[in-house]
Amino acid sequence: MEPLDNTSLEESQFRPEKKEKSTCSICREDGDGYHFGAEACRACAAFFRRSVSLDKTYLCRGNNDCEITANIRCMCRSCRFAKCLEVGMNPAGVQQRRDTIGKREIKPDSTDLMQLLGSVGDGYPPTTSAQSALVEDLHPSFNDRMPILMKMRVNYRKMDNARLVIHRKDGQSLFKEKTPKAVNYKEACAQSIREVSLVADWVAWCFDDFVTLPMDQKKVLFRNFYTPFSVLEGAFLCHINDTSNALILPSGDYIDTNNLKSFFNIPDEEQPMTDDEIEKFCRMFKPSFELNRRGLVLPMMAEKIDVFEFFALCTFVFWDFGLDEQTDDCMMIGKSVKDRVMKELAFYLRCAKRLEEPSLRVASLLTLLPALQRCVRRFQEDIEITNVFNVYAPPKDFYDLVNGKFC
Amino acid sequence: MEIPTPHQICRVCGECADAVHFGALSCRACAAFFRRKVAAGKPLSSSRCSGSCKLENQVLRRLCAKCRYEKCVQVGMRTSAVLSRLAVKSEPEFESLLDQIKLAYERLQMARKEAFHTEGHIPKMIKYQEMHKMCSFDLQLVSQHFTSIFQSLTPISEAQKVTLGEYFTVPFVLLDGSYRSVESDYIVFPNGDYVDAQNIDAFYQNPDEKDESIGSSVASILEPYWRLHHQTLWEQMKKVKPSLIEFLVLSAFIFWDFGLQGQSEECIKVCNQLRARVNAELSTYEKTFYTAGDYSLRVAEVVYLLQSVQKSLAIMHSCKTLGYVFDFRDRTCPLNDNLEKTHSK
Repeated sequence: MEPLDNTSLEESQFRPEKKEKSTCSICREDGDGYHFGAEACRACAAFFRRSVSLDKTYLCRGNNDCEITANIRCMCRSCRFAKCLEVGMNPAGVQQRRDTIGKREIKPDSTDLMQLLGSVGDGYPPTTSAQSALVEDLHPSFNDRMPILMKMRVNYRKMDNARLVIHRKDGQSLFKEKTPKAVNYKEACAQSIREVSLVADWVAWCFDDFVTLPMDQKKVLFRNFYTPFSVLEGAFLCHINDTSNALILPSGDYIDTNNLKSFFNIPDEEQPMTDDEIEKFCRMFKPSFELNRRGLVLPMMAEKIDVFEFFALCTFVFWDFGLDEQTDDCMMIGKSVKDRVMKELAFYLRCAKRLEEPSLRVASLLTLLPALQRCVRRFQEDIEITNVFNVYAPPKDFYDLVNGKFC
Repeated sequence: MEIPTPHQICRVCGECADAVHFGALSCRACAAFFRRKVAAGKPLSSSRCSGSCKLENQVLRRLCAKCRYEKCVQVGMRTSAVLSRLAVKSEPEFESLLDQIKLAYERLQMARKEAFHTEGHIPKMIKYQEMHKMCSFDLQLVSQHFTSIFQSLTPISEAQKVTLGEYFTVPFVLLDGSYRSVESDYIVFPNGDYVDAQNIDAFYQNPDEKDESIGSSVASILEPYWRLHHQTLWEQMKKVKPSLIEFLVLSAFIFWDFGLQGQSEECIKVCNQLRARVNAELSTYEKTFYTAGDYSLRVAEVVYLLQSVQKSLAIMHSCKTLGYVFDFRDRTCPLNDNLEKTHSK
């Protein structure tokens, strides 16, 4: 009796009848039908199954571009495995090795995987920060092909853990879950200032190229990055916590955009305005929160942006171009990083999200950047207004932070 | 025999055209040829063909079917527009948005030719007064020939169409200017005249003023902004070198924007649908014509130019503010009046 392969039932049911010998899309040997989502020979299918079920990680001794053909397919396992992924083999299709005693755990299929990758928390107010979007791991085989995005993800987790510490009040237990609360503008400013060093560390951990830049260029990039990143991350946190009527901060606290009066209300302090004036003030700033909601939060929700796509956007925001005092060298390095990340993103969309047309998704993602720019400019104008009229004016260090006049 | 005018010529063989067939202006013979070849569904090959056969008349066009078919596709004929015998009764497919936008842009270019008498015009370096006149006139042409096509393609209320139109004008003019200047070292205007962004002193001089220092001081204040503008949009445009179709896709994305102030939820929904259609057409286009690697990377490169346009817009806002502060509003761009409309929203 012919041994069964691990191709799913649906796939084998609808597999086209073979009229002529198919070709293995990995090594060009005679094919043996569809295995794990791609036309392959038995040898390559078995190689892929072993690699996935044994959690193998391979290293290429060349430049990750070795030729894979029938006679030399065994020479470089790293490139052979990469080619398997490239032609559409799905690691989620490999059944886990069966435990003869225990009950086997079923690996999520690719759709579950994606839901988990971009998973949404359970409503509003938020439970934690971005942790909920970082639950599910991609198969280790993806690490080699997405080094920057994977690095960003690992380090984002570290940053998230550090946030739990820096946003605790003195005497608050680290082990007790923090209950999110609506903050006022003073608290929001203070939290934002505390975030700066964390975000700076995150960037340094993520991009090796950043570390090699001269100090003045590091400053140019970072001071132009912090505010857009805060706005973008705020929108992303709203999306993963499935709320559009609050602005969620990295600490897990939030600005209640439906009740801006509470945002401008500082307990135990004399109010600089009467209730009527505060009402007018809220009306004046409401459109800015609305712009943020409609320009960023709702589109992110509609597109179901996941964490890797968010990191790709962060990369494009960080390695910006045409900045004041930015050198051509810095822009060239930025372009090369963005190109690499775009390749990683295209690979991720094709092989992990299994999109037939990644270009459609890429275009949708990148159109968020002009919207982000609009929101940032609006935010900066609002801060300028409060500063000029000296009403609810932010502390100087926050004002400088928002306008990129720090460091 | 009367010589056909350019817009009556078959884009494939150069004979008299009678209408737009399958998305391109062509004669009946070429339209019938295209229909037959698509319906046959067989690949065309020719061992004798070098890939660049001449098709310029009735005789030549019949000598190489392969080149003739490729020319049909190149000029914009769409296989999807040819109905199979079975499909005749079914619902016709959406007409390509990009085809319609392309026709509108061609009309705009012809209107510019007539308005600015560009035939035989020798380009010269211009000053701000001339630019103001020309720019004001060009804005009317853009509104009349180009913005209007987008508005007619968008099934929303008139008020919302006006809102989208107002937000569209300035970024489109910036994009259009940089697209026109891709092959030049200067910023080229619709009539062919130009400005040297590296030397704007002359641009701000007024021949009627005895004191040249006024123009020079304006130039010194605005010089960093011109430099940023050049770096942000013009240089990026030169690197990407978008084709006409890619440029039109960007224009469409700018018009069918989302999250604008004063834009209704219904309008956002319609804009998203139209953007998705344009997005799909761009993907199909890149898949067909981009041969230098993964076409989704090219899509990214093109769409990323929207970021450049948005940055240029921010620079224009800054220049407008400086014009108020230092009282040289008469020397700032007429586009500022349009900026005013959207900013006051």
